[in-house]
Amino acid sequence: MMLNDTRPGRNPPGPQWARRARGLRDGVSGDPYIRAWRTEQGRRVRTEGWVGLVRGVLLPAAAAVVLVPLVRRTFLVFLGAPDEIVSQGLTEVVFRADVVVLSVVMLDLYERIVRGRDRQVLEIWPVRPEGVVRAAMLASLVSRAAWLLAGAVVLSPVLLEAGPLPWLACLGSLVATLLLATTAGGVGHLLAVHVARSDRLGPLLDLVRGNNPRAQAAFIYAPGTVLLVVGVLLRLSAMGVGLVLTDPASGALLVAAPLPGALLAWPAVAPLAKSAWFQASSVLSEIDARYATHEDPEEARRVYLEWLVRFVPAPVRIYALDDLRHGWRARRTLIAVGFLLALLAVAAAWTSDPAGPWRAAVVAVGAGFVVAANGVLMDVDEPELLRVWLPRHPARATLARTLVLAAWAAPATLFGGLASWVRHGADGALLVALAGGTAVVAGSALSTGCGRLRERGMAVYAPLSAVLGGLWIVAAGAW
Amino acid sequence: MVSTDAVVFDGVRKTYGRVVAVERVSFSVPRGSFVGLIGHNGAGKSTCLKMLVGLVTPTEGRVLVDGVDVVADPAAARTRIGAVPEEPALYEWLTAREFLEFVAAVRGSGDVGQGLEIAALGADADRPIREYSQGMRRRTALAAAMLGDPAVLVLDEALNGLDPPSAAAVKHRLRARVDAGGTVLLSTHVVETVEAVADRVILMAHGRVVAEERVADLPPGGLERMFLERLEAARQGG
Repeated sequence: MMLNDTRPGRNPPGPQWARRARGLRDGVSGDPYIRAWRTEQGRRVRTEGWVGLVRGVLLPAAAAVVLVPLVRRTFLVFLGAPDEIVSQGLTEVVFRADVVVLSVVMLDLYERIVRGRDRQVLEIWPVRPEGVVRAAMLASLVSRAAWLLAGAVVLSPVLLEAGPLPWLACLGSLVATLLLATTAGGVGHLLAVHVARSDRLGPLLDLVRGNNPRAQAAFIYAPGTVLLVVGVLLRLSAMGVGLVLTDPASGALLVAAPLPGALLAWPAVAPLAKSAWFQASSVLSEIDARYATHEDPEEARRVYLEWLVRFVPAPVRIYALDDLRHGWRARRTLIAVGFLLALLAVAAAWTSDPAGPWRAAVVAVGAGFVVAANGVLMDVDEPELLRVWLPRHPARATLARTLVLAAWAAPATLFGGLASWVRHGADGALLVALAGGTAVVAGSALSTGCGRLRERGMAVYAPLSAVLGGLWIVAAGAW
Repeated sequence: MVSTDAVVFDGVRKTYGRVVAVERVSFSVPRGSFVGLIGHNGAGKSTCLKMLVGLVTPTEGRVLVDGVDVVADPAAARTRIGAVPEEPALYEWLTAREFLEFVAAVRGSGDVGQGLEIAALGADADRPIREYSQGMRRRTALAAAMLGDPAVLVLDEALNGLDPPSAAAVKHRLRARVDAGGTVLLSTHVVETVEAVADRVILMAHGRVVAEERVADLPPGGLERMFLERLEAARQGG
């Protein structure tokens, strides 16, 4: 394979920049890792045809358009206010968007560089690790570039109400963050391999690893560490977006603040890749083996919140343990949704807007009813045979189920209330605690009751919980 | 002095926490030989091969390929190895031809036409790998492993999923390769395969090497009997 034709007279004439651009293009198209990725992408697009077009382009575009009014009402309420308020609002919104971009890119790069299909295919071959990592970063960058178009659509109210300059600044900040996240993210993951193998840093990892193998802790904390290191640059970039309204030149400079970080990180990629990429396979094998050969068999069976059963009365404990294990292993999705809603409740409360606690309360109420739906689903899972052969004590089983559902649904109330307390004082926390707490209990009890109806349970639970949730929200608003 | 051994396991131990996967394993594979590694499920064969390919780092001891320490220089070690894992991972949306071209580009050498001949896919060589049967995938992986004539071929249950004619053709290819001076290390739990093609056999049980014999020295069908006897002895010995 000929990457560059360097024979005399073979390269066409033209200005130096054009020759360089051609050289770069030929280098990219000749790189086997990039070429394989492009060939796969092209074939996937051709094979999927219109289905791929709908799934990959039309649906996200439609979602972006649908999001516009929601984003306008929820996150861009400051548009139309005096410039000072708009500037502050844009800074906060763009900073959060930048953090989201960084997090998503870090996750994407983890799969592309550390643990994913590329490693499974490539780890046995004598690859050039720096080439593999650069191709992974390029693939990630290109895959996420479409998000910028979606971002441009979602942020269109800024264009319409604040003018083109702030809108372009918002997009500029997202682009700069994407570039920084790609380079710094790659460096962060490769450094994590070194940290995972380091005996000297072992005690530090032991402090933060929880039940995970030591090496896994390095990968778990890599995104947070990168955010900690480059967070200042993201903040500066977001501040630049706010500044363009009053001082466009300085604002534009600040918006580009992540770019020097990206340029600084880039040269570190190749040496780190050479020293860490192959080693990652053996680190991953250690992690997987530690999980597989957990030293305490009972420990391996433990599930989320299992420690709670210690505080449950002995006659109810066996039912609570059964529900915790069955629910976590078979119906984890809704419990995970509870975590996300808890994050959302914190985000809603974490504002100087006095409506923050009310928004957190709305999320907490929603979480209470949504997560509690697990009770109905768990009853559907239970085989009829088991009911007949292992009859349950009705009162104890009902109490256990209600307690377990309440525990799963509680994080949004707990963390939303905590955030409200920090930002708005005891009144805000009380609102979230009362609205969320009562919704959690009501949702859990309702779900436990509807579970008796088995397959028909959800048909009753869904509308009833929607009505009750609505009433709760109205009551919280009135309060 | 240049070593005559293509592969050396020197006092290799691998532990995961308290679990010992491989215990003080030492053996060597001379250049130009076909060695079969057999053992029961969980005997430590795959762990040994993973250490040889550089996917697992030994807790103690060292593994050399063609004189290169696998841990110290993983990239150089991989240039000397062609490997087919138990479950080969391939780029699903590439065709076999494109995948072999990719591997040849990565290795910097390799005759793709010859690779396609080994894979024996005919017109299917230009279909995406995701449409292949298990046997077709394995033949593609085998062809990729042989590209560029690496010094050592490391095959983990590589004949699984092949129909009898394909398995026979692959065995023939492997044998021809060894006769031409190549080295093959084949891990399997099918003793007949080893008996049919290997020069030597290494028997592993419970993470240890419990026997090492020349296949020619065994009576017909003797390998299976030896396998069962040594396995039973290893079990009784704890």
